[in-house]
Amino acid sequence: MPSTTNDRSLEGVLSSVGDWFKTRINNIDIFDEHHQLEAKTNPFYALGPIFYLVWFIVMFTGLVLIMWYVPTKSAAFDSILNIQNGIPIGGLFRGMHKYGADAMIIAATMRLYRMFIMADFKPNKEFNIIIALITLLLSMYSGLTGYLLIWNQRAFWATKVFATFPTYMDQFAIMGDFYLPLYKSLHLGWNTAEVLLGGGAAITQNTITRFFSLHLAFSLIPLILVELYFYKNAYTRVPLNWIKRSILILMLAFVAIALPAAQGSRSDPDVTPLPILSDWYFLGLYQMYKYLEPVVATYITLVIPLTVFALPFADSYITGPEKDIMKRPFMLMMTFMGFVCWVVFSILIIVNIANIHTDPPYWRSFLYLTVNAGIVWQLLLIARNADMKWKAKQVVPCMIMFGICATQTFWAWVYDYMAKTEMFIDPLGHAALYNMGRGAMGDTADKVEALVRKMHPTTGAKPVNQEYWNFHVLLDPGYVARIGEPSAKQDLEELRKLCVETKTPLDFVVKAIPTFETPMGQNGAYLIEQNGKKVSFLSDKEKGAHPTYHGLVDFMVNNRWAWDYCTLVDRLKPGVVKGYPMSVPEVDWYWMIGGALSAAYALVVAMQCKQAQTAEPPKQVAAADTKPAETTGS
Amino acid sequence: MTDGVKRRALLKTVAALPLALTFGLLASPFLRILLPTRRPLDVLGESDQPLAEPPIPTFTDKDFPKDWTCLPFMFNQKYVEYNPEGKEVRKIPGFIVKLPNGDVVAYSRICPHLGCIFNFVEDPNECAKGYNFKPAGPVFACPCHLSVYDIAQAGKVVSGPAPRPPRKFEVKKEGGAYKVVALEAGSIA
Repeated sequence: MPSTTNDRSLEGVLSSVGDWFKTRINNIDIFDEHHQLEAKTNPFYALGPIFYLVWFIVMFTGLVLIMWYVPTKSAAFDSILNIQNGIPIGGLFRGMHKYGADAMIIAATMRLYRMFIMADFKPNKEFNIIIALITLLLSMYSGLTGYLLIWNQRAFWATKVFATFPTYMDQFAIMGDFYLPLYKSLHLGWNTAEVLLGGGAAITQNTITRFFSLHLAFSLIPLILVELYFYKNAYTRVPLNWIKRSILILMLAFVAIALPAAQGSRSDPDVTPLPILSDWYFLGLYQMYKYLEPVVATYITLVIPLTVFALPFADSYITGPEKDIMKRPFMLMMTFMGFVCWVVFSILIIVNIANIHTDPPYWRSFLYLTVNAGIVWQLLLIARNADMKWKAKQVVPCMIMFGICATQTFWAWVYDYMAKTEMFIDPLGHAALYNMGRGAMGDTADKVEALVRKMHPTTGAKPVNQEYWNFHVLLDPGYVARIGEPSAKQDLEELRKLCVETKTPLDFVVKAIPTFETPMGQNGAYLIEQNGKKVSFLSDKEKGAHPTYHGLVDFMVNNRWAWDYCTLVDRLKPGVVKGYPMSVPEVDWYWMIGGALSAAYALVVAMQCKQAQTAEPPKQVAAADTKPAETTGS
Repeated sequence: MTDGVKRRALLKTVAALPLALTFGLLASPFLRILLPTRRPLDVLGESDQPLAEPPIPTFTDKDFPKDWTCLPFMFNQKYVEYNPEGKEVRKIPGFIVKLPNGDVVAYSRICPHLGCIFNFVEDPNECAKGYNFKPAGPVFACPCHLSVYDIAQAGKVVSGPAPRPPRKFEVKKEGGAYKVVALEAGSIA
């Protein structure tokens, strides 16, 4: 992004960063209030005002519905029946509320696509995409929270899934238990689920109360803020005349009468319907949850909005002020890919024809290759452009696209291991880190691995002592006296000797990391009553059996990273573990190779652009020669 | 004029300090994650483990006339809660199955993937049709995301995205009766 000043001092940099934010904040456009002239001729620019108008309809009908709705487990379903059939205009109002909410989501989605395709985020308006996406997400969440209030089967199970998936956040690399050796997890995912569900695994009265409150909050609080913004800036709220507004309201009313909002069957917490569906806008995500490891699926759920945030910035870097969509094929293919994935996944879950075992390679290839096609197309436009002056400025765009393709290639490399060994991100990362530290451990590594394999075979044979990694506690005299000797004691002692005595150059790193082991044990497992006081039965009652790591070897064994490494190595070697290494599905090779090829091409084009920087301008040379005095003078 | 501006800046700083302190104190529990801790934070550390609450589901040999008889039941769990009763009882749905080797095992019906309630599918062909997988024998299969658990292999995940087998109940045999007395501790799903 070009900064407003060339001042490179700290003050200058700070003020240009400040300017960067100020410009974008001044350019904020919540409901297309800066496109009101275009809105008169182009209905796509009226999507913002339409969203706002429908929001009011939904708020109004919702406030009426609250009068009859009873937010309790036993009465919710019946109160909806009453609204639908007993109250004179209840059915109409409920229909308008439901279809209005759908209309809001459609309008917000279409508006987001319009912003991408028409490049409404240029120049310096990237924050508008973020606002548009938050608008969409808020309407989706209020749709989801409102959906449960009907208390039918579909809503019940959709909510159950939605409220449970955050628990997988606890297995994330950054905030989860992954770095348990480094810090203790805060259980953010678990806590989120607890808040949503109201404690425990089941959907309870707490859940319905909380969702009812959130349903209102998601609408009312943003409305206050948006109203303040409109009032402060004196913008027209809905630049549509009453004829257009009436058409919109009548459309909603017509749909509400023609297609009365569905009621479904009463929720039954003991029976999950097959197939389980959610509201239409979450169907694509639901299908993805069938295909993927739950942790990866949770990652992707969070990565999608972040990608949408990042895309306008990437596009501003890659194509500069260009607004024509055919000259921004990278963005074209990204939007195309997102839309097709969403539609196809939704169709797959509705007709229930997908096969979760054979499909993923196909859509992985589609997803990556579409993005690659966009990148290659974009690179071709740069490569074939004759304007050398312009071309000389395209090194950064090429390198950004190279970065995207390189990430894909790296991921393909990791995926190769995943597909062959069926190990996922965390254990693979452990194995890779162990492999890096292996050089420092020398001969000890081999001895340790042999012992680890003996204690907990990677082949799936019956383990001798699966708790071997906890040898500090298992061999503690106090523990042995109270619980008894561990199996394979000799081997454990040898393992302890290796772990305690081996010195490596990297020991100082792991010694700085606390083990988080306390003398009381997890949940007070090592506590006994003594003279009316609870004390640990370990021999060292102050520090416990294992207060600090003795060295790198100790760290690797105690955190089971050594075992992860053994599993990886054994599964990669043919004939060691039954059924491994597995083969990479053939269709996956397309995207795995496609990424590398696109990356190579991006480098080639980057080189061309670099050459264009040094190339002599062909025609201007003569013109420049005629005025030598000016050039020397300046 | 410069004096005035200085005074204003001073006043602003004086006013900002207590505010910053307040918000800092509010935020401090969240910032503690940045510090390497000497002891575990134990934010949720020792929880009151839920206990079985009567009625205890009880079955006899007569309930299992043949192998692979699968019966649904409800297991009551008592959580200590700060409410007038001092507890909250939650119902965990379960399946109790007689295996061909004579063992009787019980599993929680809550799918370990995302918490739906799974079904007992006796016919492998029915499983192949509905759940994308043809097993060797009767299985548990979840309609939500098509996870399939092989009962003969101690609930091993044989198909679908589930990360682990379903939680097991402890079944105690007293005389001729099978009593479901406890549930394996675990996560939400």
